[in-house]
Amino acid sequence: MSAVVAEHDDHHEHDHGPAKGLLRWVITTNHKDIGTLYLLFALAMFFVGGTMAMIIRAELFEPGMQFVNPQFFNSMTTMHALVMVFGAVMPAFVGLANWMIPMMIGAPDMALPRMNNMSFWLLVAGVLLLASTLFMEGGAPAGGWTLYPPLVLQTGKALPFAIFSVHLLGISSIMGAINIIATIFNMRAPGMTLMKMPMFVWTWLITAFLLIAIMPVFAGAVTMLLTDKFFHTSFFDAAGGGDPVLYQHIFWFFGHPEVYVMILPTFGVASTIIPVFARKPLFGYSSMVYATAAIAFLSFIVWAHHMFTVGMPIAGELYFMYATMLIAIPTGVKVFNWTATMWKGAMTFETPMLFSIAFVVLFTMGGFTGLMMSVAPSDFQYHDTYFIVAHFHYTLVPASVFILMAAGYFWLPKWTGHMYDERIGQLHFWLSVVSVNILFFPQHFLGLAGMPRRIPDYAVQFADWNMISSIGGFIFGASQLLFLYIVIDTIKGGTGEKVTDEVWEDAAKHSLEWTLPSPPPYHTFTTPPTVIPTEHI
Amino acid sequence: MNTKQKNILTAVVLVAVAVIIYVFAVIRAVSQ
Repeated sequence: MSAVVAEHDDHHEHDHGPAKGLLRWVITTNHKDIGTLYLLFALAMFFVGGTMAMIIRAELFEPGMQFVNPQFFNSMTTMHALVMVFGAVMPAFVGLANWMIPMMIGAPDMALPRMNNMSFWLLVAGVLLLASTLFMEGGAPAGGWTLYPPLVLQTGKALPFAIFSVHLLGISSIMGAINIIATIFNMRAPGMTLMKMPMFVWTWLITAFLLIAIMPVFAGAVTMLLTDKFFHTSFFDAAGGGDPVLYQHIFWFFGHPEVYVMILPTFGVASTIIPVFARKPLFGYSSMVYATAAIAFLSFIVWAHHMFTVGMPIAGELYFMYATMLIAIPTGVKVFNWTATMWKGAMTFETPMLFSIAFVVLFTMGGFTGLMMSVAPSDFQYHDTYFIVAHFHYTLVPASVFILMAAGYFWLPKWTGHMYDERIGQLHFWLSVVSVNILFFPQHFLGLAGMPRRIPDYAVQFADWNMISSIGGFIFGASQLLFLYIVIDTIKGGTGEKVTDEVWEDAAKHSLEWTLPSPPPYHTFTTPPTVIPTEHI
Repeated sequence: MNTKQKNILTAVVLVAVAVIIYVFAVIRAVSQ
């Protein structure tokens, strides 16, 4: 044992910096490096998925077929969703978790650093495999991101590759989740009790449990698709005694909690940013924790509200309707708490705060349309229309994506040591918040008027709102290039202003990362911190 | 038990949970 210690001591001086050259990024086990990799990969995928969205909006700009064939259009809707969910939003939050959780709880690194590296590279492999299906005979999957049989079984050569990529992405997510749970349970600094953790850490802890519970279910569902296609089973084939609706049940048992995987960390970041710029502690910290846990629990028992039109027994429809409505309660608690945090606060409106306030307002709108759809008889009108598209884009774009932008502006100065250009940040915000509403709000009208989703052509009465929506889409897409510019500019030095450790006024009262230098050294909290900030409680 | 051992134990338990859920999902489907 002493020999091991002595050997470790010999190498001690070499342990402090990153490896040299490009190999640093391949072999790194450092939580900050891996966080950066995740965030940059997510940003790249955001633009890949965004390009697909631009193709969709260009085709829908006017009735008739303009640019792409229907098969490719359907591949675009499918791949846009899969890339955005599995390649952009989820990895971006895992990147934030990697960067921030150890620094927020006073840990030196993630609990399982080598597994951390492996989760990232499996993610890259999974997404590249998925993207490669675009170039295969028969094209990429085109049956929607839900991969419903029997439609998805008509996919050409791409099907087994798409399924394997889902397996890889699932394994990557599960490994990431395990790492986060192990880190939070075992690596907290002395005095950092669970109920003193920043809300971002809490929301990720709960999200990680969701991931471990749901990703295996999705993996099981797609494995059954694989055996149905290639090994003569008939899980989902009525001709062989199976049932395609079974797939929908299994998929949505995964799919509904999955949307909370994207929204709970969003809540966590909002709960972290708003108190700093309101210069007040978070209102109702413990109720936030319990509300997050309640939303996570409810997310497991509402899945069939995605399937009201498949012909469930009336008792089933009623149960899923009422259970779904219950989610509005803990979500309402959260919206109330964010508002109450701002109430009589000494607020300032820097870019992260602007994005966070827009999130509170616009996410609430997305939540309310969700409540409309939870009413089973009404859902018969909304089902599979653009109303659904409008709803979930409101909960994902001006909610998750806006908060990811907010997180970028909030922590970039901490990560890089440089201040971003506030004027361009504000310009980015105002362009985004206006165009995102031009993009998605008209889709409510289209859906209520009966325009189905996932179609490349439509009846002429939908022409006007589609054109407006597309114009909003193009402006929104172009505005995001400003964010890309700001990220690159800030990394390269930003405004030239050297930021302080706290960056934002009194931020260190809220969370431990602001007690570290900006940028933080390669290894932080090798000695656990002794003072735990409690302002956020 | 030191932190490293705790980390590995936590990981093993969580992997076991994931595998059980996977097997359970498939068995449920097979028994439909």
